Amino acid sequence: MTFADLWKLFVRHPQNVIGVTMLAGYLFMAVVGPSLYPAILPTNANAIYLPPSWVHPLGTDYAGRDVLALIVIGTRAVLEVASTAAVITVVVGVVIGLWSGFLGGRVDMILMRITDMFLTVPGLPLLILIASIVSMTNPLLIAVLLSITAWGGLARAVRSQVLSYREREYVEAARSLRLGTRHILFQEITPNLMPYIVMHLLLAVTGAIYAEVGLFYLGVFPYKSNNWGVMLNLAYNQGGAIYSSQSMFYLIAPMAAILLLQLAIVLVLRFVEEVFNPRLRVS
Amino acid sequence: MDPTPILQIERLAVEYHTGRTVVRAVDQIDLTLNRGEILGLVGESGCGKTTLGHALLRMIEKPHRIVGGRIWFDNLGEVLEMNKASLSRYRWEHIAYVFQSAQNALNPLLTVRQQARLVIQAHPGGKYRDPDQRMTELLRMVNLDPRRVLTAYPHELSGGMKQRVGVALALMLDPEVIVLDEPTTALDVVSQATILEILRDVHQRLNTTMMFITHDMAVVAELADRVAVMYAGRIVELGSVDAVFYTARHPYTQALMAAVPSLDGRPGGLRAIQGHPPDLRQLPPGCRFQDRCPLAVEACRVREPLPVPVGDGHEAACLRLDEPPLKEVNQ
Amino acid sequence: MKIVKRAGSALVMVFAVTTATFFLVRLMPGSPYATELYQLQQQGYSVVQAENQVRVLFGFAVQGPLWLQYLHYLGGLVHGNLGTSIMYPGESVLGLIGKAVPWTVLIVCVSLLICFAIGVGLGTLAAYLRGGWFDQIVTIGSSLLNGIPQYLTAILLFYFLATLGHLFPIGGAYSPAVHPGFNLGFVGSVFYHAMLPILSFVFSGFAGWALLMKSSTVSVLGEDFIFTAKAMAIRERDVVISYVSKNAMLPLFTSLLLSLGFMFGGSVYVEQVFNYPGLGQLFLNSTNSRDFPLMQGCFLLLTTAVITANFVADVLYTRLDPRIRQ
Repeated sequence: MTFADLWKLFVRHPQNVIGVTMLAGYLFMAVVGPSLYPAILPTNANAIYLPPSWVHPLGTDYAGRDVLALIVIGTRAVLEVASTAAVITVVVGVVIGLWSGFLGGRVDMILMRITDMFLTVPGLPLLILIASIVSMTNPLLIAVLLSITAWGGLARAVRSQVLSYREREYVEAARSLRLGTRHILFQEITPNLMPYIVMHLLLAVTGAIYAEVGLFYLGVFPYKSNNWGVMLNLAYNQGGAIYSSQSMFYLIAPMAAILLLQLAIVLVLRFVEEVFNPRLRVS
Repeated sequence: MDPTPILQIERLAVEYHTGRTVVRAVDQIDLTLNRGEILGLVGESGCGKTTLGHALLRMIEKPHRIVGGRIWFDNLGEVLEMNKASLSRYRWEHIAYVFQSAQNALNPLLTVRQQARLVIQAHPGGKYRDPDQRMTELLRMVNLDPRRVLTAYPHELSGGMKQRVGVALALMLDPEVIVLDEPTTALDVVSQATILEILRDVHQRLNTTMMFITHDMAVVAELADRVAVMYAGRIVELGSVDAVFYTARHPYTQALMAAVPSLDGRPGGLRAIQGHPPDLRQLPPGCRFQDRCPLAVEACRVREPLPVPVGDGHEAACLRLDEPPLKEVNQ
Repeated sequence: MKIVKRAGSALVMVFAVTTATFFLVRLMPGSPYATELYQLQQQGYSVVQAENQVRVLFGFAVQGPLWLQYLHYLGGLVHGNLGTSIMYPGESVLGLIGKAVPWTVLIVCVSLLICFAIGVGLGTLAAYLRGGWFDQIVTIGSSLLNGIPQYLTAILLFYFLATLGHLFPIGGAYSPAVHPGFNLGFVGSVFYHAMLPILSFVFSGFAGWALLMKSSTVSVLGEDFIFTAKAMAIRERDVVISYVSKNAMLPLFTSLLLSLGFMFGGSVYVEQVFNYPGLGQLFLNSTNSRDFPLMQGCFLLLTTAVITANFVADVLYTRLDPRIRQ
């Protein structure tokens, strides 16, 4: 498929453009956003829970800080961790799935037993348990933690894909040419799994955002910086925001940020699916 | 004894819509089924024979559509104009169907007995009231042990057994006509022989009219009284089995015969048909067989051939019928 | 025979998780046992006293070789001894869990049934009307709603209907004004309090079922045996029930129990938001107060519930599908 074809497909449905634009907006906020604001946002005891205005487009929080600024600054914190977690999830899932499916036999059995165990143990309680034992101050550590409960499904899916590819002709051909396992895995099978991997990466980002924000909301992670989960936590627990209609924007803003990001990812996912799956293009 | 028609099809056309393209899967079909006969309907896959079979029960579903023609059933009248209630009675009480894929034609989650019960319940005006008794009787007729099969789920039966259950279910309400859609195709040779034996037996006992859809000429030769040859949505030749097999007039039929190994095993003479059937989305003007036909002349690319009588009850649709047959085949 | 084998592997799983939890909690840096021991000593207990205290708290000996501690711990489990809570002094972990579990079971099971019913209904309709506007709305709406985190729907419902709207209580499982027991006031109060938690689960849960049911029904509708049923003129009602739904719902039953386990985990969010005294909240509170015996007990129970659900799903599936049943 040429770039022109891709572009034609892209502009055919407005939702593709909307989704990609929204996602780009979030990425822009994450990259550039924090530098637009001072490192420590000014507080103002006289400007608590202000309604939206030109100065504060989304109003202010319990300390008089600008809510929009909090959202923008939080974007980086959220996306950093979530995308790291998604990459770890996908790498671990794909590597284990490939290994297991390709080697088969005892290795496969042991790996799948372990995978099943991770799939069975309820994810959220496990995250909470670990987070309460290990102090989660480092974003990378949080990302690793989030991926612990997420890779199992992908590993199983990749494995079953590999099992079906294994018997196909071109893999047989590669084998009869005595090309090594590594060649077969990475030159012959992995390219065919690419669509799968890309879509799972996007899904893993969504999953990681939910889990991350949720755990910050629950107060399981100690927080150093502001992010959407921390905002929710403070809104729920502090300053009586949850009991006042004045604080509506403060409370709803992080939720809207999450939901719009989710919407953007769903739309982009549909586009990616359309690119990879020609059958969907007909209708 | 003169044949009495039980089912008459006139100028039937079925289209298939995908996106912007329209495919005419069945085109201008005229065909009559006579009471008590076995008619073989043969042709390559994709020629429209299954669609025609479905149309007889008015089982044409989106994206297929009947766009013209008539189907007239003895005593019941015009099938295409039946209301919902009479259509429900027409189906299975008067005409039943034995499906191509024995594997999936039965509901995997119901036992044979449960499926038989649902059939009887759906036809309160039918002849039989006791599904168990009727099914037991029919299972015996198709050489199955009712004690074992009645309470079995489909997956517990072999392919051949499932196909026989399919035949028994089709006979449930003692229909006048049964359409059999490649009932032997997915089976091993022994099961095929068993099914053919059973069908012959059923036909002798009940005198049920049968339309036998297949691509297997040998099966037709063994079972059918008459044979209709379909090509690219049309019937190109129709006649008694003897007439069509020994004095085939349409070049396609002749080619089809040459592609079948002769029964007495004489070597040589086995030829495949060159080329592919035409793309139904973009049919050329004139004859549909022109690109593969050794006899094609300029006129074949312009004029559509219509069926003309070439013998007693034998007709063929070809412009070059005056030509001597290509080669004596299977003689 | 298969059931015995599956039960065996479920037991192995429970055992493995128990063991993993034990060593995880025991070996992590800043081990809670060591912390507790240290804290007690700081409070002026002697080493022996502190050890005794910790033994009571955790339900097994803390000192001695690790394998011995582990055996003590397992021995305690077998006798139903999960230790004593730290934040609720004098209360056994088992007793606390026993009080919390019914509430979680109530909201999780009721919501799951509602989700399932709505999802199956919408999914079936969308499948029958596929391509039409109803299908479009259900499919697009469901893919947007599907996977919206429970805490978001919970907070929104809590904020608008409970704290701002004053339509629902802001916490608890029943009103202090009613007497627990089988009387109308109590049952009514229980349902009144459970309403919003259940709604939160339903909002974030039904869409997944609708999508699942739709795709399952669409694939069943394309099966040959549906065509056969129509050719047999089987009554519409029988086709829908015995042919379509029966086949389409079969794969959903497994997911039903699997998601029961998943929802048990998700109860942490919902119960936290609504201050609902179930297992999820107990677990969360225990982690916040670093009440490790209680935390370990809750986690074990949550995990066992999920593993049991998996096991029951397996068994049920082989019962329901004659193709697997032997």
